[in-house]
Amino acid sequence: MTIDYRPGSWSYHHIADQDADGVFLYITALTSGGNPVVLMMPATLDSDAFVSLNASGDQAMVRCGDLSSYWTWIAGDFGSNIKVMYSNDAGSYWYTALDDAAYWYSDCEAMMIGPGNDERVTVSNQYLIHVSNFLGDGTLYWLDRNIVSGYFVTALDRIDVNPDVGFQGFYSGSDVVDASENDYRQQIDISDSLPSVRVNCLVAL
Amino acid sequence: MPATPPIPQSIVNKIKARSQSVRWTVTLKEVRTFSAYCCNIDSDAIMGVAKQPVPIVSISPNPVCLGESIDWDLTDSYAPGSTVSAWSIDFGDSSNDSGANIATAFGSHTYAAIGSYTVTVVIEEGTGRTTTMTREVNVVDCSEPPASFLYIGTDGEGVWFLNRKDGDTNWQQCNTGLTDDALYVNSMVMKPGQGHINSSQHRMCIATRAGVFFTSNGGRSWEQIELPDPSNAEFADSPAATVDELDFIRVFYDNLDANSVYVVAYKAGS
Repeated sequence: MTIDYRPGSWSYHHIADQDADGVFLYITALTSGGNPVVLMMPATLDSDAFVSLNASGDQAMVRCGDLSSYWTWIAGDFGSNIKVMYSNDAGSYWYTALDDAAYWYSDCEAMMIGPGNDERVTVSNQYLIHVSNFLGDGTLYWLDRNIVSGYFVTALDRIDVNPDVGFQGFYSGSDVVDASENDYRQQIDISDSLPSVRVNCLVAL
Repeated sequence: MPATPPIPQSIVNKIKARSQSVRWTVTLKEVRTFSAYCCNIDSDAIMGVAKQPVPIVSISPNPVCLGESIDWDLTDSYAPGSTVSAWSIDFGDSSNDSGANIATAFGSHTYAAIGSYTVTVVIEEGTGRTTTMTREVNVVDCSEPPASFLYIGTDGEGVWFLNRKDGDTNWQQCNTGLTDDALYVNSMVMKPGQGHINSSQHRMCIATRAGVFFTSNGGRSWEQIELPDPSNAEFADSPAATVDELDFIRVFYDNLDANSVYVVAYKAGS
């Protein structure tokens, strides 16, 4: 049987990833009916993909943890306000990490895991950046950062040696790239000579 | 710091092979719920995967400061349906270790010079099947803090680079070799642990509307990775999609092979 899919998100930078041990590829896609799915396929590519998660909604993207192959996060519009989910058992079960329409105005635009912590995901949707935090008892809560530029955040990354240092790229406008040295609490425009252009992806090191 | 060598043809071929096998139109032999067998990746009967041994390699820290040792551990490696009968590790600096008992496959190692080293691990199982994995270890000079480098891929303006060391705010355009649709950069990936390396040696890949490009000199020049036309089995339409019809939308490194990348392509309308 053949099923045709479309990319799960226009933010192409996040639609596929490989788990930390290199065993599985995770791919998010939209079915012909427009609903998101999470596909998994052996990284050896010698066996076809299978469906790990079916959802309603219209967008999904994925990022795998860098340290453990058990941790994978997905974000998007899965309907019923569910925007972020994670699996800590290699895609066997997906937990809802955030399901709160009050904080989420539209589709997710960018996401990243870590660095150095698979339980921390940083997700943006339009004017907000959200950072997950787990308490010692496993309780998950979110830190929400307002984007002062007023532009959509389309790319995110942090520096390995100092996870509090982060950067974000924007959809368009005079503010193209911002930097933050305190976990996105404050952001500084570092666009300088850049043309006004949409940033699709960003790598910081 | 040794100069970064050009891409060996064997690696290009491997990239080609990977990209040829990855397709956006995913053919499913069966649509099955994952919960039934998610935790049973050892079962080749279910997954249809050959019983290749699976190397699990832990190396830390990486990058490592010159003079400090890395701890390496292969003991989680396994062989589905069989047992690991031999292992070896080559540290890329003419040092190596090997053994038969996977439980003893761990230790530490110290490199004598700054540079990027390819660590090669081979795991063999009882019937003689072997799997080889490579990891890149970067040995860096920690006497100075890492520079802060930033690359962005844009929608129509290609790749830009900023060296924030010393407060530099001057972005540099890195588009030599990129024109037209190649300036629409959908994703980029950089080998990890390059923060201590001179930017002229940064290695990264980008996926664009026009194809996949590679640089080994921090974007000072880009080389297009020639991709073969996909077969009709990969894009099940008629006639088969050509490589020119594809939008290359995601590229990411193979965690099991430091010299390979996966490419996800999409044919609009398929």
